[in-house]
Amino acid sequence: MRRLLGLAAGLALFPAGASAGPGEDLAVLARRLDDAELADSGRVAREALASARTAVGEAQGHLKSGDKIGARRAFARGKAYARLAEAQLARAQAEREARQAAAEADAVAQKAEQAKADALALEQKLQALQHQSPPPATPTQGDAP
Amino acid sequence: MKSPLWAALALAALACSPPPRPAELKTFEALRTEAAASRIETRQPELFGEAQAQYRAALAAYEDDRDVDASRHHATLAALTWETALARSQQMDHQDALTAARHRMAVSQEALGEALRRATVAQDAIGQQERLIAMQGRLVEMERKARRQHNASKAKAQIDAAAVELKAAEGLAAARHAPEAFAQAQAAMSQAMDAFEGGNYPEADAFAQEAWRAAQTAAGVARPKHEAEVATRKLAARLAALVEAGAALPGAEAHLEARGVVVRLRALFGAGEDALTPEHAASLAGLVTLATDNADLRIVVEGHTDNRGQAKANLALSEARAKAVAAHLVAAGVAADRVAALGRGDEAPIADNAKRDGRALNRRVEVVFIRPQ
Repeated sequence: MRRLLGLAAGLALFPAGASAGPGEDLAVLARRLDDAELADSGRVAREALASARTAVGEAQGHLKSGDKIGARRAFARGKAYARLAEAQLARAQAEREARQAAAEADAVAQKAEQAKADALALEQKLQALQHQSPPPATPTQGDAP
Repeated sequence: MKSPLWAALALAALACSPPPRPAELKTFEALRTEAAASRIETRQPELFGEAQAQYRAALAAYEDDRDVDASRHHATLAALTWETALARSQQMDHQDALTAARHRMAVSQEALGEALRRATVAQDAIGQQERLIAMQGRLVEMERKARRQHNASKAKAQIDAAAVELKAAEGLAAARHAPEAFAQAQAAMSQAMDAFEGGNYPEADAFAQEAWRAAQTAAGVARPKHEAEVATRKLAARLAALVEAGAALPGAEAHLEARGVVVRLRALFGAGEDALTPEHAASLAGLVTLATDNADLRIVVEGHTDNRGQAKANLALSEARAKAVAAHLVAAGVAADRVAALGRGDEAPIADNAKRDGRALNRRVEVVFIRPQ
């Protein structure tokens, strides 16, 4: 049993960070998903994460039963699911950022259009004032009431 | 024996037949559409290569080794890698969109800044323009007031001038001498006053000018007539004063005739006498004073006699008496060319020659101060 566990560790399925094992790596990823607050757009990532956890569970089962090949394959799937979950997370985050930026850009564009219209209105008002007929000329023949 | 053999043959055939193709291979092949493949190969070449390698491994495991588990395992990894590549590709799309949105925002922000700047400039200019217009309005109002005040002053001055001219015309009795022009001046003056009180200064000015011109015309017409009247009145007064002064002389009487003032010195001579005697010195001195005080009047001294004696002699005597008085005047300083002597004889008695007193009165001299023409 100890040899099998050593084999699993040697697979180095989740080498990122200073994690003590795949379970912790997946927990970190889960926290990132939660923190990202992606709602619906994070569903696919969460499903991939669940699949990764399942695969890791399977691998651990294989290790316990001494099935080294089964363990390696299950860990490999877990790694692939985890990578997919991470990619989905990144995609969802990028999508959210892009959507937010687009909304902000739309808002600014709308604001700019409004400001342009306001400026044009002011310029037209100015033009009207400048073309306003001059004050009546001083009467030369008296100013009878 | 037959059954076990057949069973063994069947098992052997079954063992030799190919296992069913793993569904994971189909799943991957379904994922790997041409459009997606092209896109992923371009944007995620490493994952694309990895997925392809897993797929090839899956195919090899199934087709060469008949290892379905291995084939399913690699096909699953190929599909997961493919999906990961797809997600990353989409992430890149979103990042591109993000970049584009940021760029668009930057452009919009620049446009917004420019628009706000334009609006600020326009707003400032509008403020200035409005202040300028307001200032011009105030200037126009001030100018209008000033002009109105100027017009009022001008009209007032014109009315004053017309009033002076009208008063002058009135003083010249223009109402009598130039009634038409004077009436026109008065009417125009009245209209000018009404217009002025109504605040219509230009009209008041125009009427005042008309009044001034009409008053001048009236005065021009009236002046010579008035001056003639005044001169006549003055002369009359002067002659009246002369009559009064002449009458005040001792033994004298005076009256006014058409030809002038006649100062009659009665009983100035004795019968047949033409010499002046000292007893009449006071009368003669007074006469000299009258002549001196009225230096512009010519003097005719007429001598008279009573009717006693020859007329021819009386005429000569009367002339001598006149000359005696005239000589006295000239001797006292009266200009000789002002004085003429004339003998009237007995032709103009003033009293009854039948009586002594009457004849004494007729022996007289009449000094005529000739009325100027």
